[in-house]
Amino acid sequence: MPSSNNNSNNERIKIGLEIHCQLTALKSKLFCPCSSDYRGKEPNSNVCPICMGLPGTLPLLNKKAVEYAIMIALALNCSIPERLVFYRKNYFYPDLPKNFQITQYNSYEQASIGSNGYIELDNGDAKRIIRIRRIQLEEDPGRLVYESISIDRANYTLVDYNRAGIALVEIVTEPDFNSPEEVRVFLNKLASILEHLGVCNTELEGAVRCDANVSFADNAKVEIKNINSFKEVERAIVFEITRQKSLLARGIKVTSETRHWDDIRRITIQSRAKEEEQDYRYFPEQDIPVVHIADKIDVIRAGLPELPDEKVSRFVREYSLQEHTARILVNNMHLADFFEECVKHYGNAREIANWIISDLKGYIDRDKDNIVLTRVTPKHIAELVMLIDSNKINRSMAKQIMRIMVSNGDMPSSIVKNMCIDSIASKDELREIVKRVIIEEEKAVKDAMINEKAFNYLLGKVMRYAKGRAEPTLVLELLKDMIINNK
Amino acid sequence: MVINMSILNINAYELVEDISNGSISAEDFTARILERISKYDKRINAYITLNNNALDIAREIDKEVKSNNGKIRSKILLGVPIAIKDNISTKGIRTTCASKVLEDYIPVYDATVVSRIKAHGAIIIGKTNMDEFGMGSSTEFSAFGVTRNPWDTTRVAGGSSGGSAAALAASEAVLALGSDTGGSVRCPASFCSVLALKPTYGLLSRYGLISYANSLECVGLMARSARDLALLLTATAGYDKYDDTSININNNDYYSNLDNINSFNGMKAAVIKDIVDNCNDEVKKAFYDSLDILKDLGFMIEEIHLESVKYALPAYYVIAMAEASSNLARYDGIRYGYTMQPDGIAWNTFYSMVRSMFGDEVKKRIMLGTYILSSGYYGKYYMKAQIARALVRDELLRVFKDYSIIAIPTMPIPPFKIGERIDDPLKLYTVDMCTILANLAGIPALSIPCAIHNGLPIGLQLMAKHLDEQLLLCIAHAFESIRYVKRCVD
Amino acid sequence: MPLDVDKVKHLAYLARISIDDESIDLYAKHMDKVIEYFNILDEINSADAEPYRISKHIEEFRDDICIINNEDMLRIAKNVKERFIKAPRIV
Repeated sequence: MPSSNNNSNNERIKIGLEIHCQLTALKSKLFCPCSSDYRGKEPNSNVCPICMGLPGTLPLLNKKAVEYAIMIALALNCSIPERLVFYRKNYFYPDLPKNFQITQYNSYEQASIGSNGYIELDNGDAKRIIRIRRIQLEEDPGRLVYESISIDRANYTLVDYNRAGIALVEIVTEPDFNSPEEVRVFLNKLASILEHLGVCNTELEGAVRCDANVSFADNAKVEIKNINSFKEVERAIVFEITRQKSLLARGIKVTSETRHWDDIRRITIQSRAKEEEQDYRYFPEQDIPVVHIADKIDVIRAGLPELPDEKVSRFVREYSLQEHTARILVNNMHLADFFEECVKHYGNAREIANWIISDLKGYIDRDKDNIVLTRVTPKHIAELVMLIDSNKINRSMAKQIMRIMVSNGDMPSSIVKNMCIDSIASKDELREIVKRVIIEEEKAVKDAMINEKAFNYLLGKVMRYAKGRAEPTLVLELLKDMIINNK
Repeated sequence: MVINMSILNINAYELVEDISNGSISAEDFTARILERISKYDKRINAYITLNNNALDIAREIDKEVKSNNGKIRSKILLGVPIAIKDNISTKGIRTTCASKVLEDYIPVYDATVVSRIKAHGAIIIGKTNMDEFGMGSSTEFSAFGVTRNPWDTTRVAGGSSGGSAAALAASEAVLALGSDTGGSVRCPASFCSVLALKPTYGLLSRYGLISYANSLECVGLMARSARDLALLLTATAGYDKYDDTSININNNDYYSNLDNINSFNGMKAAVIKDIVDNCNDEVKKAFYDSLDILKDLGFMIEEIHLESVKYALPAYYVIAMAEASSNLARYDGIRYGYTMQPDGIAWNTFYSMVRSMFGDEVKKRIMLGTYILSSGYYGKYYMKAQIARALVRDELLRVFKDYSIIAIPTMPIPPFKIGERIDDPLKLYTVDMCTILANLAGIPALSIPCAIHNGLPIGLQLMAKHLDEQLLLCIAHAFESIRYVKRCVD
Repeated sequence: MPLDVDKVKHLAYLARISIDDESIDLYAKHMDKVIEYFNILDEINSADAEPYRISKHIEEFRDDICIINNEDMLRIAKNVKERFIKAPRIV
């Protein structure tokens, strides 16, 4: 396992992450057959005797959850044990139906699904390694809701157990990050890996939660909890570093503590509840037998979907794309799939990639209602590029066509016909127009022979008569030819 | 129909036949049982809750019998009144675990063993008294009063399934379910002169058995004859997808083959000297008499010594208490059970107040379990106990390579007086010394009445290797044909 | 180290159980006796044996199939507000 190639950083920032990802692709919860789709349901309607912790009920391990967790461990280059063990983490809290959480714990034995892994980040030239300490499977607790806005004034708490028992994979990194930007790059990559594995949709509300440990210049470590999306993580860390720096600048020591991220006010605040030292009294969960997975690992490894890094390499190899271009495509899985579909219809991969990235992607990024891709299909883009390559349209025409395509979904060829954007003028046709302009614009022609710049005026005139259906370079060539050489 | 008290002492297998062929009415019989309970139970306090629907169900069974449809042939417990220990979940029938904390808890689901006996036509008569959450060996630790031994009401019925055993001995049920964590069906069976079987761990589903110590406990079966036990086992055993620790075994018939092993010639029985020596004289005498019967049946008896026995009892209690502290954490009044208005109360205070409703013994065991698992002590107690447990298990499995069964007394003493052992925890815990071995190793164990001495029942205990219930039942069946000890008080 | 009253109070808090002051001494005495009894386990060597665990192959466990539970779990909860379960305040 590679060691972290810590670039010496005179800011000496150290960040570690603890990420919880729901296995949103599962159909049922981790230990009971309730639906894993709890969002938007009436409170306490997505529950059963098992996830409510009713007396006499027993946990029933979801074997697909184990499979998905193995996939994640493999994708993160972890070592995976031959057998899994589950442990109980004992503590009291209203969101915990049994007042213990079934999880995994490695202090007495290698129980959890993955350990000693890593993710490689591309930071330009330098490749950075972020080490993964461990990956484990565990159940999500329920949700607490407070009556009033201020938690302090609430006289009671309301609990909804719909989420209790949802399968979580906890991913813990070593404190290898040196900057919030690195954290962002890492989380993007992790989200992309999870998306490619098809196990977790990180965009779903509540699907990912992140805690961050931040320390600056060898001072005390502060834990930030309650960051509820990948997007918020960088923001929270930046704030916290700033807060710590300003404390130190005023000569105040940073205390080791837990703080909460308030995503409305965008600040970290001291944890309200007194952080007692918790004695979790871990011991093995006897209701779940030890799970033998040794012979499954190779099978799962062989069946792993293509991961982002592999796809980038393949795009570079198969389609002769620049790595940078490939990365942008791969980073959005749907776009990458779209691209490959286009290339099936028409082989100019580089052109297609460019048009997707520089043009179509802009429309997609702004497309709140996800309509664009229902109108623009791979066939559309393929045809567009084909028309460009066969000189039937030029680039500026193509841009116009794209705009129209995105709004009405017509094929480029029919847009060309219907909007009277005729195909580009032929050389002979152009020659006639140039002749006409030369006759009309005697003065400009005289100027042009002395001043290069006057050619632009003549070019403009020709383009107007040609209704834009001409390649500017060709027109200039013809103008120069006729004016300077012929007359 | 002539009302004869002795008909209440009928065996289940006889009752099923009589109900199936219409010669006994299920409704009549159930009514007799209920009448017996109403007259007699105040003396022994075996039941906590009676099932209001028992007569209706019995009536339906009579209808089914009259309609002569083929379905009843497959129902091997047709019309049998059965008592169920109050830590087994019964849908719609209050289930308290003999605790104030669950005083008015009515489950929304049936335990798997309950669904199975219902499918076989059994009639649930009611829920029986027990030590609170299974923690005890005398049914003195109940929030609903002590259960008295029908043979001598100044003495305990044993525990923790005391109510189930007493009900059988008092003709208040024909079959009973209990649970066995460290001897909890065998002990009361021995004290009340009935039979009990603790099956192999995982043979009977634990779904619906309210947990005390989940790696040790099983649903236990109780009856007044070996054939009845075999019938009940056949109806309840087998794989259950609602229990991940359930063994993948199905459709075993334990009662058709009871007479098959006619002679046990050539089989060897091991007697654990270290344990027998620690039993009192009456028990020893009854035990050695029973060994003579085993010899008559063809067994060769040999005494053996087990190294790990001295660690068995402490290991058992360490594991049981540790698991209890976690299994009982869920009782906080928030989702079900005893509770109070939460408005304005801080949550830690709320939890502590609700959980103060546990009895003293339960509180002590939870706190001891908490101590055992707490930071710094895991290696000293829990881990060592698991290793000791492995030693016991390994040693017992080695014994079964050379011996078919192990025979020891069920209890080291006859039924003791109510209140005699309640003030000294260790005095009470040591009565489990004969029974905990089977729970530690997960092996099956059966207790059969072998003597009544000075009016007090004494039981013989037989243990076998994993999944060898058939052998135990065959031996019990042969034994009681030679030495039949009275099961019911008059 | 004997189990004293303070330790018992701490354990009672960890286990969220309240004990009245009159009983604490008796509890401490009983519990201490039991812990003393457990100390015989010190004779055991960690290397003596591997704890036995039931094990199963991954294929023997539950398939990922969703089953809707139609029983209303709120029926047995006593403190309910608009389908939420009412619990005491956290702070």
